[in-house]
Amino acid sequence: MAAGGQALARRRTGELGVGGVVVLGLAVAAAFYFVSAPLFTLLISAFRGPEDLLPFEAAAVWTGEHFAEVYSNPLLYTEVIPQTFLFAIGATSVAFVIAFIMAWLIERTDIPGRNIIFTLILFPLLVPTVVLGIAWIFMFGPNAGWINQAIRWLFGLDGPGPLNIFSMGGLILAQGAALVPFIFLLLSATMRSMNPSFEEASAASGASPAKTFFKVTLPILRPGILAPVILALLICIEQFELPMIIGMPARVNLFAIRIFFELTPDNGLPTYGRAAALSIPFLFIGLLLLVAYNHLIRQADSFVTVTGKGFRPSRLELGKWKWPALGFAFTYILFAALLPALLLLWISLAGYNAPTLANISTLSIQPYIELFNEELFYRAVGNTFLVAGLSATILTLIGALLAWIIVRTKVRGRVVIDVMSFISIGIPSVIAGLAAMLLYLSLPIGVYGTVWILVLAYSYRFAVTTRLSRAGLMQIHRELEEASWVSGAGWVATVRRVVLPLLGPSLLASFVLLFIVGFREFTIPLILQSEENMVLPVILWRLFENTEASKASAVAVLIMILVIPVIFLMRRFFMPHEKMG
Amino acid sequence: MNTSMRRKLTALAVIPAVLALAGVTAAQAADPLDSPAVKALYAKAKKEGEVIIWGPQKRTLSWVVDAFGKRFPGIKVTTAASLRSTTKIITEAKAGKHSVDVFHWPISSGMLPLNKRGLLGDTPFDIFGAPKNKIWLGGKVAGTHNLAYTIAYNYKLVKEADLPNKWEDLLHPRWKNKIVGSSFLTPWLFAYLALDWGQERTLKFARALINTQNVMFTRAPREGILKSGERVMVIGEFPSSVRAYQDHGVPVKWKFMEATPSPQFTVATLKDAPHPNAAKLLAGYMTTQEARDISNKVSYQADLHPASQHALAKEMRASGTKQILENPSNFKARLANHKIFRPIVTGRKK
Repeated sequence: MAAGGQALARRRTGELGVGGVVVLGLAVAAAFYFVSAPLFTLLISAFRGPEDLLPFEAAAVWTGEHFAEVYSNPLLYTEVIPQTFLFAIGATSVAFVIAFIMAWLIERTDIPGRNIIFTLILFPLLVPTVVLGIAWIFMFGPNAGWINQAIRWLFGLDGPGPLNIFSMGGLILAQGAALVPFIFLLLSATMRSMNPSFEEASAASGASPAKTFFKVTLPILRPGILAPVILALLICIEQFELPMIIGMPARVNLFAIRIFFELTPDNGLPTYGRAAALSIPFLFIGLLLLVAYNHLIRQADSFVTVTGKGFRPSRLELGKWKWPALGFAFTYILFAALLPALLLLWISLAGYNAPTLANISTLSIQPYIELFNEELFYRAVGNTFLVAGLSATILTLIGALLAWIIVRTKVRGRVVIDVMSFISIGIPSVIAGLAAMLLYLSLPIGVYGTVWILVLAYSYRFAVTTRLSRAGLMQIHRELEEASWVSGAGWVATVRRVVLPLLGPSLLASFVLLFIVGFREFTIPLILQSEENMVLPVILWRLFENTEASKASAVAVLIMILVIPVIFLMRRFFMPHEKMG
Repeated sequence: MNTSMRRKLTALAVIPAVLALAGVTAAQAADPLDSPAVKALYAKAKKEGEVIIWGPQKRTLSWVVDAFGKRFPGIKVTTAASLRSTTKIITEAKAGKHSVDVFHWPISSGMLPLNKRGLLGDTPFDIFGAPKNKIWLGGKVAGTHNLAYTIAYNYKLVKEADLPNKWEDLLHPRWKNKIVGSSFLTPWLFAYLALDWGQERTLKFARALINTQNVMFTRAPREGILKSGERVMVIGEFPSSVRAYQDHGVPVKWKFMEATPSPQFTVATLKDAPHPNAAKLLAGYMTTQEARDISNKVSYQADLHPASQHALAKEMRASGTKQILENPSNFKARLANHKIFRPIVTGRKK
């Protein structure tokens, strides 16, 4: 074993072979390119002015005016920073609690209907968050929300409420609900890979289920838990759709809203400098969280639960707790998936008419007919699949290779790779879109206005896939790779035959997540849109802005219909062990 | 009947026919779209085969495709609608990319920033008969129609007797938590009111609306919020938008307040338009009476200048409102005021 370890160490430092060096080198170069373009734009823009000029124009000068203006505003300290932290921590907490319970129920218990629950949990990921926000406003608006009306009718209450989505509490719950599928996917991958023998040993030693959970399960899952929590925190700070739709009417003042308005002027040029100056804290927060993460998981070997010994995950029998568990899952799915889906379907058929029996006669499939008669719609469908699929593939493969370098090698500079991949999620998509626009307008490679600029612009979020792969690699003992290498396999063969198959669940989770994120991404394509590179979320938003609510909802319904089979297929073909239980 | 009498009768019969014929000929000659200059421009534009127009909303552009296509076959019209069009044109131009031929936008918020950067081209609006008093910025921009800031309300949920008559009536407690506004349009509304009221009064009004009345600001269309009853009134909605909401079955009406800001919608070509002749043809066409009639019918776009005979203009005048028309004397002041009110509406300043 010791000899094998030495052999591995040698390979790690210099004997990867030509294939290994080329593959890893290309991965690192590509990742640096994809991340550094928006990052570089962000950093440079923060110090270039005056605001009437683009950061790279010849007449622009180095200046600290943006920082002075942004950080001398007292509202930043009395409203923006405290409210942003409250929002991020609140929404992450809500999302984590729900997602953890869901992931545990699906991966570690015998709850019935796991496949359908799994798919429905992903619903909020399928639809652009803007649309979800609108659906939730229809349900929880204090004056006319259908749920509020029902509660008032049921209990004989007067006035607005009792629930008010236009509040910090409402925003936290909405963002938390929207984030659940993201955390759920990451957690379920971790739980699926976990060897239950430790839990079984604990139980056999007489520990109570609670003690086993807190003393065995949670510590084993720590890296897999920390990663989604930290990513979710960063996403919450960066998100601007729900803060704009729900938070802004509630006068909640968040970083993301500030950045959005700096980059979305009503006339003239965006104030890139002020937006960049506002964004810099994202990077520092990202770095701090990365340091915390690395500190907490430095004992990596203690998380190894996948070894050369095979195991078959067992499932806890819920018994009489089956119904409360189903009730919990159903409640979440009802408010986060079913009701918004039904609402969208209704609006697509009946506009803003209230969903009453009297209005059944107003139902019309005209919006769908109009969509199906538009050539642009079909182009958008093709573009959306292409951009989402290609960017997810690029991110997943490169991210996995980066994770391997970080976890398995002693290469100098791997910390830089780690930091770069991690803080990529702190780059707001508005910044990424504008950076891509500036960059590819300047480079004479002819991608501006094409669908390829979207693929390039989407492919910067390595944080998700490197975290997932890293957590997955930590759970795979090195002995498996050592065995392959000692048997004479080269690096490429070992990665292909040993590492990738074992990382399968993590990679699949990463791909699904990034595919869906890419499928519904609307900020970047909105900035980079042309008739040639139109994607579905941009069509949806344009229709919505043009007060064509029915057609916009029809697009949202079609997005759901298009993505749901993808999830089912992936679930069926890539997770065969789900057939058990 | 003698010969003399016959000649006189014949002359009497012929005169109307000659006059009618002369009238028709004069009318034909007066139609600028039939002028040799326009025909020559069409011939050049047809060789280019395409024209690209950008504007804020699909609704304000959709009529152009059919109307222009019917009048000038052989030229494909591509439209793109986004509230970020001005920014995108400037950014692309800075990088040497030019993908837009024609720009259709209010003059202060869109044309002034482009003109300041030398991005607007020259267009022969005169050959299309555009009135001289609706051509600005050294002939680069011509007026097409006007907007009017009114209130819009759900008439099933608001009693007529309760309706405000003045903007400041919206500060009545009955409207607390009842009003919605566009985060894009409301700063422009305040910028106009400040032209008439002065900054201090307008600031007081704006802050009271935001902090006391808890006006809901959104970038989304307001129709769903009105229809559901989540909010019952919109501050600063255009009648053309209200008409579109009505078409979608929303029970909504507009009402003029004591002052009515009227932005000037305009059209211009871009200096580096990829299809320069088609650009001139389309921009010029959009200023003609034929185009105005079609856009009014399809998109409810109205001329609201004092002499206009448009129904909405008449309604506005009958309401007794004071029209604050966007004109060369207040272009820049309005833009400057907007810089004061936008941070307040969007939460960057109190």
